[in-house]
Amino acid sequence: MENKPLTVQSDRTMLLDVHSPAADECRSDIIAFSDLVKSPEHVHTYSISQLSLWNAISSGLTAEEIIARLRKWSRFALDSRITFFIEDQAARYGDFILTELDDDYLLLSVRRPVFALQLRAEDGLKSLLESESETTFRVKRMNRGVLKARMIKLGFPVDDRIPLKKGVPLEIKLRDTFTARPYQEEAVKAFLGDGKNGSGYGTIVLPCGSGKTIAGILLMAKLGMRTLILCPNITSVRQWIREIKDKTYLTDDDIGEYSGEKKDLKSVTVCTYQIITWRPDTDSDYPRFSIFREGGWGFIIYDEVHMLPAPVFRITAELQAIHRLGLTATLVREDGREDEVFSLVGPKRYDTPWSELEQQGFIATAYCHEIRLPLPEDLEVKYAIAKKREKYRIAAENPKKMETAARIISEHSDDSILIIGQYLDQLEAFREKFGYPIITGSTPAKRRDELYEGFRNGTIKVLIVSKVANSAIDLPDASVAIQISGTFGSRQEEAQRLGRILRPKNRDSHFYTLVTEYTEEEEFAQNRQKFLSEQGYSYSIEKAE
Amino acid sequence: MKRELPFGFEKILSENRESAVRAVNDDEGAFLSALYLSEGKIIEPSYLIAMTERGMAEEDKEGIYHVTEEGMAAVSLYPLLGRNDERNPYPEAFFPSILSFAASSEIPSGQNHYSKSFSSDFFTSIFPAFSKDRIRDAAMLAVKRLIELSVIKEKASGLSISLPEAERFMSLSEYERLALVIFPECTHDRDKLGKAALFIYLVSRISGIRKEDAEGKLTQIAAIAGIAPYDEELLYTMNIIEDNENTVSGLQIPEKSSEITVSSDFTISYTGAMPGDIYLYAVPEKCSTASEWKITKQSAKAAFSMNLSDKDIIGKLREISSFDLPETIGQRLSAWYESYSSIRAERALLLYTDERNSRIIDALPTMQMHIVSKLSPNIFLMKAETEMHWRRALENAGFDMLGPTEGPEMITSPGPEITEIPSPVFKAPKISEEREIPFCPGKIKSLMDSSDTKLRKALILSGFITSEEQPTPYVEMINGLYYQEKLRAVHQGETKKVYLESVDGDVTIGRPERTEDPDIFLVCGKSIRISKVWKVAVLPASVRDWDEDPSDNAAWNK
Repeated sequence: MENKPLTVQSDRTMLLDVHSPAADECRSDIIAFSDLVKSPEHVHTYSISQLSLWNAISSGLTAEEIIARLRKWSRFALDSRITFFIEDQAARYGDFILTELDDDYLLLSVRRPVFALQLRAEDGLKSLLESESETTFRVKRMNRGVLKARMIKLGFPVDDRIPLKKGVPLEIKLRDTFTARPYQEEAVKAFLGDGKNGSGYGTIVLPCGSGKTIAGILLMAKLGMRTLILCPNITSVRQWIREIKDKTYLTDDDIGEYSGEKKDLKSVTVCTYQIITWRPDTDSDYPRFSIFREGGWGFIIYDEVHMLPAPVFRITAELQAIHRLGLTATLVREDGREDEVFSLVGPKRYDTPWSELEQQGFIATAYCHEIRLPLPEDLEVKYAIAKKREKYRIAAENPKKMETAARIISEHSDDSILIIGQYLDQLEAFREKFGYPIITGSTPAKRRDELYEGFRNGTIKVLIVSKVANSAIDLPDASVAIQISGTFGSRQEEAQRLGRILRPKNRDSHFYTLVTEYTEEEEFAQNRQKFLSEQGYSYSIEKAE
Repeated sequence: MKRELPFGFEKILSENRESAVRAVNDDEGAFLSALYLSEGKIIEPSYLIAMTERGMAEEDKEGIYHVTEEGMAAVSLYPLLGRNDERNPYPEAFFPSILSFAASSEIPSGQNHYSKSFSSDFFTSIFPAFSKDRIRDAAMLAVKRLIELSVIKEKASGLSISLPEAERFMSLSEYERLALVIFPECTHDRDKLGKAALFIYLVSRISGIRKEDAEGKLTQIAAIAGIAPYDEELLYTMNIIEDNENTVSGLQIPEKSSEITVSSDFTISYTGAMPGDIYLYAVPEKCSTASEWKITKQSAKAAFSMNLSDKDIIGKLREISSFDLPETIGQRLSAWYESYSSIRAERALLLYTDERNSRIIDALPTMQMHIVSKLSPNIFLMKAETEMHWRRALENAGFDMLGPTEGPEMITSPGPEITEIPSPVFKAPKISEEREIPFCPGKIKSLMDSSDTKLRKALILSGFITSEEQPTPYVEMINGLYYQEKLRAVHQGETKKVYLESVDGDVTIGRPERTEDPDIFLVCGKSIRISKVWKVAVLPASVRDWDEDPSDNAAWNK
């Protein structure tokens, strides 16, 4: 009993003892039907949900196989509620089947008339369903994604048997100058599944700096179709283009940038969320959504899918016939819309604990430091009488942070350092004090590229950045980040910022967060640290000298 | 300290289950079990002879009968306790969770109040494997008993725990803890407690007994354990036994904990029995096959208020943790302790602070009305009767680690209220249905002219002050800088009246009504934004509304 690494609980969470010799084998058995919830040092938590089971079943696993795997690894006898849940959910899968009908309509068939009655009674579904017979409904093609998303929220999983469309073919050959890492290969395998219905779309979760782009490029090569790539900002668009040219034989003739500056639609087109969701005014449609519909795409990649804006959710609901890949390091949305990402882009197909990749050397070893410093006397009373939100800002903009940052910079004279902050006034004050270059939302793209390039080639050793650099910026040599303020308690932002210094290099990375002690900022800092501490990162707490 | 109960059949049963089951019939098995447990005191001649002849019992030199090794192997407890099938786990963290909740200083006293907390989904969700109703009922029963046992203290300020009593309670075995809850008569009788614990021990081991046989078997077990009649339903309520479709089984009460991990995300997880006394400094997150507790700022504050220091907690964690303690946990606990130690209240009168906090309190406008004097650079003498208000003022200013007041508690029931103006005893007789204006405009004007404060003028216009000799009564005036206090006073005024002075100097008296916007309310039909109110006071309901006679309003500006 002691050798078994898994504790399966009646609330469907599972605890994996990572010190067990069988931990790896067990993990690869259970990941197919469960989600990784957290992975601190000793015990990793996985959870079995309706969605994770339906995804497993849709990709060919059976309830019997899932239960057998649990029995194989569980330290204790399985609670009957667990086996019941698995069997019940597996039995439900297939109660609602979506198939082709004609050019405009799909057909939703239900197994029993009583299910049809249930569907008719749901307000959220009435407008999407047109009765065809006692057990079938007509569904407009454009409502395919919305229907699936709404039904899954109501606990009715749809077995979508409509094969994904083959986009316009495009031969993408990989160069032999690089070797994919094992976890990238695994992620690709998990995404493609058995190639049958229910596979070929989904989300891959990998830590920042671990090469998510490579996973995307590997999939592009496997699928061999016209590809649209959506990114959060222009810097990231150019990074994708650079990487694709570096890792494949595609050339400028094949790859287009669709941005504020260029409007090149080519076989592989890379654009920003912002440009695609542009509209002349708030009442009009999104004219550029036609790009999604008319590009002949066989594959769409959503980079940093946790940032997917609401209009893109809407258009994605229409694109259920195309291979879709979401890439992210932190599928934590502070707005709680993770489930929409799952149902529209696709379920989580691959996730791996950050600490595992760190141990294997695929991402840099990072040390996190929380540096506590006092509020200056002249701000103490102002802080005490301020409202909650103002309190946070006073604490976040503590001018003593400058001295502390200066000390950290002097201690890391050989490192490439990012100073990251939330408030532009504060960042500007840092620029004035230290004279380091600054990148904010208003910095022109050309100037940004120059500064990033200077940082990459070492001519700039310290760069001040606002939240524009929170994600999707590849700065391989950055090894120290000093976070002087942040968006309240955002866990996602904290992880993304740490991600800026995780590219493997020949030195350790250090992530400093400056926090004003005895203030609201402490509380928010702790909330921010949750995601990373659940990934096994430990913050050392130090007093500023 | 764990106590050993004086028997152990599990091993024998597990090794010899089939032969044991076949060797004796139900009655013989029950007899041998009873003989063993009673150490030879039970004599049933017919069975005794039969069992002695079969070599399962023997008489020693002193004439006392014992169960032989063969008898032990044959008997097991099968006939009495049922097949030793896998039983569901008992919610081992039940009592610690109750104590952790009670220690949080956030649960108000009074059964009506605390029952809400212990019935909440927040509490019941800690035990996902159990029905909410069952956990609720168990919690209510347990809390009531723990208050009777002085483990939980019920003070005016809320529930708390008595550390020595809690430690004494938690040093007992789970069987004894349950016995104390189910059998109140055990409280002062160690012998009875032992018997009741034995009963619970045996009952928790029944397995797969048919429902129709359960009552009889439980009676037999009670007789063996030597306990008086009891309420069988309580065994279900306290999750010692459960009924499945056709059978009744005990729940497996763990006696040891497995490997215990303390992770850098501040969670403590383990399987089996709860290790050490983590309920003192952590809060339960989930208790299932494996249990998870979390160290939070609030749970640390509760521990500090029980005189545990950061070092004490770190020491306790090191003691139980199977791995090195993550550095961040010790450092965070030390930072919290530093913050906790920088300010403390004593006897509702004295506020001790460090230099920095003293400086802030000196300058805080919302604290000034509560400070009687400053006894030394770092000690404030406070108004005891407004303790609730100054504690809130401190919390709003960011002093969230101020612990509970030390020393004797100020008796404030039914809770400190803003001092009210006493209502006049005399009521003018009603002469006619026509409403009379009590004062002629000339008289009002003369009174107004001789008045020096806005409050006095307002009370004159409200018919409360009727002569120059009548002094202005004392009312506590809430300062406009203190938003939450103003809001509270206005809400209090919903059943009374409020005096409001706006930042522009306008005065209104009336009964406030809420609107959809929490910042805006209506008084006498006038929309008033709380943030624009400079002064507020609560007046008795008998004070006349400002708009009862609009002509009076006009007098204000005269």
